[in-house]
Amino acid sequence: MSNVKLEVNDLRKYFPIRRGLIEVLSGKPPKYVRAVDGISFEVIEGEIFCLVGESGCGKTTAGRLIARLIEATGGKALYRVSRNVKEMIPEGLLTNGDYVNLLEKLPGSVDKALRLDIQIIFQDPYGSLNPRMTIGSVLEEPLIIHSIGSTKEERQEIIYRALSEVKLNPPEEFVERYPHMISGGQRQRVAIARAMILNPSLVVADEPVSMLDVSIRAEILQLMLDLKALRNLSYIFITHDLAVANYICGRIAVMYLGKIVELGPSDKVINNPKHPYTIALVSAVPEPDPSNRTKIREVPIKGEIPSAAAIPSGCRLHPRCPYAMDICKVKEPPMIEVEPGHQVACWLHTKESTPS
Amino acid sequence: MSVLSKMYESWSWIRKEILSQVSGKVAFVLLIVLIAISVYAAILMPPDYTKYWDVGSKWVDNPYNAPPEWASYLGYTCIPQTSYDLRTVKPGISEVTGRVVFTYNITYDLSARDYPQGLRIRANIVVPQGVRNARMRVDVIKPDGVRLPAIIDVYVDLANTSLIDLNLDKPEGIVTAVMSAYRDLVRFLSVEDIYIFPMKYIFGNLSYSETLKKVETTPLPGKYVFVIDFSFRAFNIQPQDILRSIEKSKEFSLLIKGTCYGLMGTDYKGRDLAEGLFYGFPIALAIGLLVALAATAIGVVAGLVSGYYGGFIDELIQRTVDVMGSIPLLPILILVAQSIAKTYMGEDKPIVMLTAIFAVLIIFSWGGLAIIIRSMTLSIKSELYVEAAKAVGASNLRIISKHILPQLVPYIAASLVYSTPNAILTEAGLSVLGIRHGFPTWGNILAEARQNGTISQWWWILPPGFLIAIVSLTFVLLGLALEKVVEPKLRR
Repeated sequence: MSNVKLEVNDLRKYFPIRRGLIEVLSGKPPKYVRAVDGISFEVIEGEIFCLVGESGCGKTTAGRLIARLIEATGGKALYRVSRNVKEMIPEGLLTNGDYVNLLEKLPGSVDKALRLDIQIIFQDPYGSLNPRMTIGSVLEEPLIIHSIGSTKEERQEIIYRALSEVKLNPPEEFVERYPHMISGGQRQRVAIARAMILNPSLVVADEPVSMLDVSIRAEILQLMLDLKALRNLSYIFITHDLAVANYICGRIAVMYLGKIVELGPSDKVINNPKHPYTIALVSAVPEPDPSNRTKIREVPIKGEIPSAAAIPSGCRLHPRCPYAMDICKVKEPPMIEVEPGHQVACWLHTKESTPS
Repeated sequence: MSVLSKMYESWSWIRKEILSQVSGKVAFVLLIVLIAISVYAAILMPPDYTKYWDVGSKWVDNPYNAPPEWASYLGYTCIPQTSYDLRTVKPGISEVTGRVVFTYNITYDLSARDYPQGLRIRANIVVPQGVRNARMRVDVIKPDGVRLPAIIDVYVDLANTSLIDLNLDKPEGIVTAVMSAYRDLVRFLSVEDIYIFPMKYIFGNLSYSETLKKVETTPLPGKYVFVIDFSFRAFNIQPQDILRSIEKSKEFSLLIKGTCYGLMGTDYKGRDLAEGLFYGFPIALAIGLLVALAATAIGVVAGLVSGYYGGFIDELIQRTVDVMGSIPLLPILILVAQSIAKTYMGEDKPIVMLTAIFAVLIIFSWGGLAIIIRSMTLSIKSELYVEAAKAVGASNLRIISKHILPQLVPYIAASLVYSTPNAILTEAGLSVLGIRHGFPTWGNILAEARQNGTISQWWWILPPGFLIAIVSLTFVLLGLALEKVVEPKLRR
């Protein structure tokens, strides 16, 4: 437990659906979009933990919950604060010595302290930088908020360092520019610099390369790996791209409709997927071998992802699953371990390993 | 500090954008002129201005309903206002039957073919002890040689006082004077007509009209001599001493009222319209800008709070705006103003009424802006960079002031500009409808013209309307220029 950076337990986020007047008067129960519906995982100190799934599966919501941008509906997320932030948090809020529950209502000072420690990189570098602020003032904002650097010159120094750390050289040339004057890849570097300038220990990276040109994806990923090595960071890396996940992740959690269906070391999950959904995902990855270009592969699941407002009973995948059994329609499968560190939630494997 | 510098930055950007357009340039020049005049007028404005504008004895010397002096170029016969300070005139001194007589011969040159509006003699003289029984008698010698005797003849006993205080604006002796000067016409003269229109008989040529069977007067230009005999019974006093007391007196003057006055003419009370219009500048601008500023400030704050925080407070503000929007403004204004006008009788009534009108205007004019600001705030709030700012720990106040407000500045400026003429026009409309707060606003001058003027008195009707239009135009032009700043699609 000592090297666990973040332990998420039964994390839930339900968005209420606005009801019409007639629905309210007729006493219909409020409906919810269950974006994240009870997920549990651990992030080990210094690892890159990936959340993978197709769009709408709740992975971004999970990331935003951990970055404390939205309030959770329920669950627990115990986070081990780093040493320099620990002093700012009162004793009463700490459990097990170093752990803070991120999902509780925390006082303003604690909230601010945690912002120093947990940062987020957004998917869209075109939207995440205020078009009316120069790069310099974008990077200066977190410093001003957290009173880092007492003078303008000192802050300038920190900004220059942050910019050259993300390989925007020479930094003097970038501070005066506005976001529209630089390329998408450079913008994402600025966004990374903004996240890193506060010296966090956990970074939620929400599809940081999916909006970039393929040609610069690798550079940005390499930059993130370099920064991780340099600063002993932990990443929660959110992506829909298994190729990227394979390249960067230590462990992978595959999400489907707000639930984790498979979790394990990335080579095991990708090379030996157990869950039908994971198998489908893996087989959908385009193959780089040109000799296979004429082969049309069958994706083993059918149909579209259902709405998170009307989640199917039992196993969420059963309407799409080619192996669906009777039990799948009634009962949700538990998470069971199929090999060390590799867990899957599917009745197919439950029967194999735990005959009952 | 940085917020201020940001504000200044966006202000100088707005200014540059405005000045790059013709309408913006015109508006800018007009605005500077307006502000300069307003500041100048506000400095010069006497503190009790409302009192003497509305009641004031200040205006009795002015001709009433008089066109401006430059109207003579438009074909008006114009007699200028002529005033003689008799203290500086050396009188002839004589002694007749024990009385000291000062004889002032004042020559008045009437050049236009019209009658002056009136004449007035004022005296405020403290005479030495031993002077009794003062008498002032005024004769007029017309250019044709006819002498009207004693058109004014007054006595001051001076038994208990040594102050001669005269204010004679009617030649009381005109009837007998005319009767005795024109003996051959006596049968045809109308006493009533002489009494009501004395100026016609003093400054006119009298002739009998066979067709009308009555005496007619025609203006008689030429040199008139006013012979003013000021006589005293003096006991042990040298005439020179009396003369010295006259020279040192507060006032001793003869005024012949003209038919034209000043730069902008006068209204039915003889009030100088130039003055009223001049002091109307700061009031108009104050009404417009104060209402616009306050309404804009409230609208911005309400819209920001509503859009940013949402929830119950949002609902409350938006429903309030809806309710306000469905109440008609003008009837409410009339109701409020009229009830104050009828019930409040304090000294500061004009201020109280104006404040009430301000308040109602402000209360009813922030809603539209609040709705716009709310919707803009909602859309900016959901921008990713706002979320990014939250992620680095920015407070709500910081997000509002650094990320949301700067984008709203052009809209706020445009709203400010457009609501200014609105307030001015509403106030003018109220005045014209008869809601009087007492300040000489342009609307007020127009309202009085509506009640007491005729259409021929263009100098009374046109200038206030023109000034209201100019001020509105200034702000509308400014708004047009700003519109291009706000809406990039309109930019070339």
